[in-house]
Amino acid sequence: MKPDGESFDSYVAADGAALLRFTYALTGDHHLAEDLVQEALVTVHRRWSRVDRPGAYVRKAVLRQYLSWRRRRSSGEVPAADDVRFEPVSSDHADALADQDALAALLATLPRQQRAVLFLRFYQDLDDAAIGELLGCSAVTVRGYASRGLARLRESTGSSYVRNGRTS
Amino acid sequence: MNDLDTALRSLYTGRADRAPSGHDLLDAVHDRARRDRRRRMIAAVLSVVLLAGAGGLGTALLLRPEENRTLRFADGTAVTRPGPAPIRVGWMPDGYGEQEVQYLGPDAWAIEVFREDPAAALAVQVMSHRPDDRTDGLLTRVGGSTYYWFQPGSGDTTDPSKSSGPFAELTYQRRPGQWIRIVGMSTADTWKRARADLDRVAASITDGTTPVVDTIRLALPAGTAWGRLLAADHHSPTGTVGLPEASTEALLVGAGTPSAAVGPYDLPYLHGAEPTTRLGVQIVDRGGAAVRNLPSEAARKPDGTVPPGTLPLTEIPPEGLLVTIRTTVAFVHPVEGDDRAAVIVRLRADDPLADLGTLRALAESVRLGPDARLGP
Repeated sequence: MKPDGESFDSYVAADGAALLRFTYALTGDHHLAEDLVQEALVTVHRRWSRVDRPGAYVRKAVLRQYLSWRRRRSSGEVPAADDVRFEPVSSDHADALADQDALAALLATLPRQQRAVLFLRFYQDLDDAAIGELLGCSAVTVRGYASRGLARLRESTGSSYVRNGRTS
Repeated sequence: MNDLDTALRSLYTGRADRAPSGHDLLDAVHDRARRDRRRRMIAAVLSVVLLAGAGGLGTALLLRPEENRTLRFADGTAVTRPGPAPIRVGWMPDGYGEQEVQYLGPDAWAIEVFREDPAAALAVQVMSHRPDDRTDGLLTRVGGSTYYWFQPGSGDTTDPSKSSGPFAELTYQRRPGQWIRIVGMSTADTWKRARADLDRVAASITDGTTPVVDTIRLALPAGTAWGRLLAADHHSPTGTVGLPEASTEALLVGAGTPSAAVGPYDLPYLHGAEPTTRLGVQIVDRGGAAVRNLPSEAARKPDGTVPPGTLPLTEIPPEGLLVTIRTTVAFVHPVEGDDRAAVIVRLRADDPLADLGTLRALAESVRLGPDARLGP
């Protein structure tokens, strides 16, 4: 709930960094993350007096914008290489980073709905019903997106991620 | 949990650790909110005009926030830019910003001013042909002048985005071969006041020159002419060669394209019509999405997906790169003298100008002016 009298500016000061982490984790693209967060905050700014839970509202707005057809048409689909890269300190670390780059590149080939579902499941630890509420679809649809997305990632990576034979 | 689950969690967590800091987030949001209020005011009035008039633009007008980075001035004396507007406007109402001149096509310009709060826009359009009358609202003819006034009903006062302001216009022939249309959007809340402003602006117009916004200068390829040049934060619908919305762009037309009246939906800030384009020239960030996504645009399948392994373009070769995207080509090249900007030239693949040498010469000639802004 929004504390009584909380101003928009104080909300952004408190939650802005977390919003950017959320959105960058979703997109892997600095420019896109900043653009989505700024757009969502402008939306909540217009409606500030009527918004009860700004954190949830903004995150929902970010997701909806990310999935909108207009944004897909204009800003592209390939955050394949994440923007910032640390220098590897060991060959194991370098291998891990290379794997992450490869996984990020594969994720980028999935349709955005599948990417959003996987993000909400594995980063936010939300269940299918909660994901469906955020994305405006049913839990059954969410399970379908997750299943297809994971299947495609497994096909593309081979058996390396399915060593124990279990599926998500 | 299997290894893929773990890998995904690790990927997302790693990304979150590398997120932007957001130290200037609040300033950026307030800046964007100001631009958003201006766009929504103009879009609200425009939507009323479209409903009132014949036809409309449907989904051709897309409003999108853009980045806004100032570039340093570059010497452009060796290349051209559109000629100045052939008039000077001596008076604009109080509270408006500086005059900006948009080049709307052969022999057509708009001198525009904006007010932030309350949001309003005023444009003096000069053209060589008589524009069409609007088909609804109140039309009054006084001598050779036509006045137009449209006052929509009040909108939802609890949602400012749905409010719309009055639309006032004065059209007249200033001299043979020169027509003026003065457009006022939310400039006054009564016809009496709006007309007084229109008349006073008209009375202040004199012969002279007012230069066009200085965003892009370039050497025109043979057989082309300047088609449109707008201020960096204005919007134009996607042209005939599929130019995406950009922060700084120029449209070139075939030489000899006849001049025409400014269209009824070519309004301040949201320019809803453009001449048939032969080439689009777009200024973007070298590391931004427009450049990175060129390979994926070229590789995209009909179902919208991109084949695995399609890597983004991370570095533009100094000699440029030609990418074929279905029936168009895009040539991307660094902008001379600017280490952040790139130019993307787009045209039909079957156009005789879609030749590597011609496109490279055009791209190498591009110089940015002080009014340029990088696109994403």
